[in-house]
Amino acid sequence: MGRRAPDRQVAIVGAATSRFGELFDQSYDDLVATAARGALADAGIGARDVGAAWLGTAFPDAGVYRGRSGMDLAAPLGLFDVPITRVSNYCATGGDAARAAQASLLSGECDVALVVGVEKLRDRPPRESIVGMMVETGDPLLQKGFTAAGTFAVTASRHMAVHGLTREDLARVSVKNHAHGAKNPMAHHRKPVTIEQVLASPMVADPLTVMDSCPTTDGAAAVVMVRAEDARRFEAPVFVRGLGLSVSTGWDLPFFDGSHDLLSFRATRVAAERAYAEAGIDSPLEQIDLAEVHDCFSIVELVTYEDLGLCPAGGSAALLRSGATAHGGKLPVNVSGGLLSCGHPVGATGVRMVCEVTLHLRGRAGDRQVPGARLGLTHNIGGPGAVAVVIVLGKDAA
Amino acid sequence: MSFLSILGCGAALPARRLGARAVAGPDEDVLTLAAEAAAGALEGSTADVLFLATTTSPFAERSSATWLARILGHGGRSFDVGGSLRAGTRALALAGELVAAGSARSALVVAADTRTPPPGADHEAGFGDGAVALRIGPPDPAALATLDRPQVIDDATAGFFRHAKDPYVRRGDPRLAQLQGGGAALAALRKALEGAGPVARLIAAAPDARSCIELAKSAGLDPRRALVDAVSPKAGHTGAGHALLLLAGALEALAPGEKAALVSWGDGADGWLVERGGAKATGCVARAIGRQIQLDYARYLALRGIAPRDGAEPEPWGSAALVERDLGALLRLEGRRCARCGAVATLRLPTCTTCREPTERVPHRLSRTGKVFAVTREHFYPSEEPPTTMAVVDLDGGGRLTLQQADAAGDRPLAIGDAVELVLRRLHCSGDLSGYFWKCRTIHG
Repeated sequence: MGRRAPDRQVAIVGAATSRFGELFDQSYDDLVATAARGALADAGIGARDVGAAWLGTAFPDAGVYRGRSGMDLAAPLGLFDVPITRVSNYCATGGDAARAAQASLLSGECDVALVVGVEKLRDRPPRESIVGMMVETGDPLLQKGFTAAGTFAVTASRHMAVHGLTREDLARVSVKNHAHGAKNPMAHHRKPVTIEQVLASPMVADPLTVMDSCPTTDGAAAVVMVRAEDARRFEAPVFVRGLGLSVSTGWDLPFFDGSHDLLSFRATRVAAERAYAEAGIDSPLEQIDLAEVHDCFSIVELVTYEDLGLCPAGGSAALLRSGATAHGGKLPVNVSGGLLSCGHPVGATGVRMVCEVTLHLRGRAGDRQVPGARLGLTHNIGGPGAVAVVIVLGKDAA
Repeated sequence: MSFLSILGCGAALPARRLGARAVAGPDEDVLTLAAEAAAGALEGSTADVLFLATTTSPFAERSSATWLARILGHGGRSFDVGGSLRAGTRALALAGELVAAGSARSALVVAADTRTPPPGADHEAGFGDGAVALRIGPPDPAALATLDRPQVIDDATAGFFRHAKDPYVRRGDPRLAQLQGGGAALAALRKALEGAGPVARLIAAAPDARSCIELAKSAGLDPRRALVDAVSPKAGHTGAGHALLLLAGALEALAPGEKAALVSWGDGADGWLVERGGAKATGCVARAIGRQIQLDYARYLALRGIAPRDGAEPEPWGSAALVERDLGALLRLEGRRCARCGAVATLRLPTCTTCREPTERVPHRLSRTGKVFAVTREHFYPSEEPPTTMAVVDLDGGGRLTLQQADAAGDRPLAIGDAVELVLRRLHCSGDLSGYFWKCRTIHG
């Protein structure tokens, strides 16, 4: 594991997302088509140019039972007779789909890869979607009583006990990201919020409130990827400088194996180590210009600061309070609004983050542009801190 | 003539109270109450034979006793005794006969009930839910108590009854019931006291307080001095286990060497002569009474499933096969320890996740107590009593479990570092053992 050589790189040459929100007027197929066609048009190619494709949908059974196989990408696009694989890896689904595309491109299996992440959750009320999945499926006994919020809230309880994290620190994550999201026309929530509003919003899983939690959202995102050597033929390519994915524990183990400290997500640390090594990053806070990190719940963004090496263990609240991670700070985090504003259509989220960073590296992010961005990072953590993906994207090839 | 001795006892009462009635919560039933009481009576020991006495088995067909045996890890014979409020003492008599005959060295007699009176009925206020377990063996003066062989009158006396398809326990003519039941009780009591010398204490499991007083008076005893009953005023009449629960409670009140008569009512009566032995009382009944969550009547009707619900709540999927194969051990708190690194595993994974090798794992008995490592309260998890407190618990002696807090509504919120004990509850109604799992609660007393 070392620096990724230029001839072993791939590039993003087309990127697009659907709107994110409660899209009652759009079907799963509509979302797929909107994102995929947008990305293809952005790359200046058509569906017939695609050599292989990946469809990231994490939870078909919590949604509309679509996305169980590649055929749910083929049909909406009429993209037949090419290999398509459905990818599912919890919240790292989108990033893992990009990893599969990278491997295929570098192996020479295909020359143009299409990655689409999509989740259609809001055809059901939120309680019957992800919450319903946690209640009704999975092991009949283990973790019963948890929703996704609770599995991260216990980590918040540890940070409060060990590092003195406060309820207000958590709220500040939400305030920052909602302020960012107000400038993102594609986001689910587009209103700034105050600390008082976050604190006053209904409790979901102590200490996390509704406004510490991402909403239940529909959305899709897509990217077109080619080998770096072919990227010159496209306008404004963005290079995948490093990509690490790690599965570092199991679904039940954090809660049934006492070796887990519930302070840190090892998967993020391992994935970041690989991505950083490939991209030649040794001082992320200094080198990276913007980051889209997983903030499904406010606590997760803070833990991620520490796991990505932006601050020492227990230093995340101080880093947040310093303003370094707000727009205009040293390393703006989640200038899209993050999952807290954009929502979290699970399979789409990782791809959406790549689209967001691509916009900034191309200098096309409009009101929310991070000036002069040359190097960006995306991060997702899935399951109970079990699977993580970190992608480093550059305006330039290595 | 000495018949059997009580070697250990355990009691379980639901924490929820409607007035003085102990009423089972939505996660409690005969099996969870029986399991809690049985664990207290066994205290890590075993018994050759198991009896479960109840009139409210979760099943009309299927042996709750064998389920209890599975939960307890009891490998011997197991018997269900039911059909009567006297099922508890009938089971004790049968168990005693097996021990006396040398067919069993020891027996565990568990009795539990969750009887529901018709809403609004006159007798509603007197009913309670609860369980008791007695571990018995041959006569031993050093035991908790020694009992003579009972005097039994089996007769179709009037009283409470429940038809097969009726969820509610009905009451027959109360005056006739007092006459017939009281008559049988007095006859059984008199026979039990024959040749016993002076006996000043009476443990009377009558269906109502008045019958207890009348029985004492008829036997020539002053009711105020003679009657020993720590349970009825605090929990109600607890059904098939009531006589044995009163007996367990009396062990905490009687002095060593003190004698008492025990009378059990229902379809006749039986009378026992009890002599308190030298062993120290466990205090199990006082502890069980100690936990209390007051309900109002509307909450009671909702929790009991009497009031109609708003809508169907999601129910977890269950699988008997999966639980039998992968999680059955957890019902008995059987963990495993890595023979190489010593790490304790609660889940039965094919690899030691500490060594990361498929090392040999040896059995490791998981503790029923531990400390809260992390905690949250889930406000949106579907529950009859939100929020659901989820605690990551590191068990004393190794192993981690993540569990709901039992009876959280009446307990203080769990905090990191709190000592907790495990208690078996029903998580969902899957129709098999896959619905039962552990919860945790703060340790009282």
